Amino acid sequence: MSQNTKAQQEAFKLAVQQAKDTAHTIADAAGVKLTGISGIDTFQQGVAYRPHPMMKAAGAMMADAAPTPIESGDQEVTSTVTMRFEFEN
Amino acid sequence: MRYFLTILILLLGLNVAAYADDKHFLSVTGTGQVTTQPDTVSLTVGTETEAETAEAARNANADIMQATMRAIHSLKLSHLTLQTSGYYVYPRTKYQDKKQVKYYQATNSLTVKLEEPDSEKLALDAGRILDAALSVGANTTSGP
Repeated sequence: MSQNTKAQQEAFKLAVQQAKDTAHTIADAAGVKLTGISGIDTFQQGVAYRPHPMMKAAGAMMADAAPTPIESGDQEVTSTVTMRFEFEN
Repeated sequence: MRYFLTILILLLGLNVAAYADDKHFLSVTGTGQVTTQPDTVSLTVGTETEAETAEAARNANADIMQATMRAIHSLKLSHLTLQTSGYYVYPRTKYQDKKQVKYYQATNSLTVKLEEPDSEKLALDAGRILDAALSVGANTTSGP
């Protein structure tokens, strides 16, 4: 499994956890009880490419044939879910 | 504070509705974000040659592409895949001394995919692939 797929799955786990935490917080505040989940929608997850900050001056500028520098940067994977909880008063 | 909370709840997509079957629903949106380092790279290297005949353009192109593939293989990278992603030979015309001249152009592109868990080595190897290809006559590249 690629790093990207793993990250997407991890992002989904976090998204679901966040939705559940929020739902519980809201239910507690409203004084109602969550009784089940009746639907989950997932949204197109985006991958953003974020450059690394430049930490050092590019070396080897003097050589007549410096290797082509490629900077990998980071990938930011975002997943979003909307969950529909059932509750009773 | 109450105003702030209301706005926050609206932003979260809170949506409470009572349905005819007397069930109550709460709809909540959650977002997860994970940062990773890339572990695959895809590059395209190719060669474009021109000659008076289609065959000459093809021959010159084949020589360079053979050398390009050898140069990439000689880097001895593991988890490397090469695939021809496009091969074209087209008749072309250009104007030289106000005269129309016909010639042929051959284009061959090779997609190079590399997997490497260490993202710094991945980036380094991607650069080495481009350099190896260009040093033996490849003259088109794109990616990563």
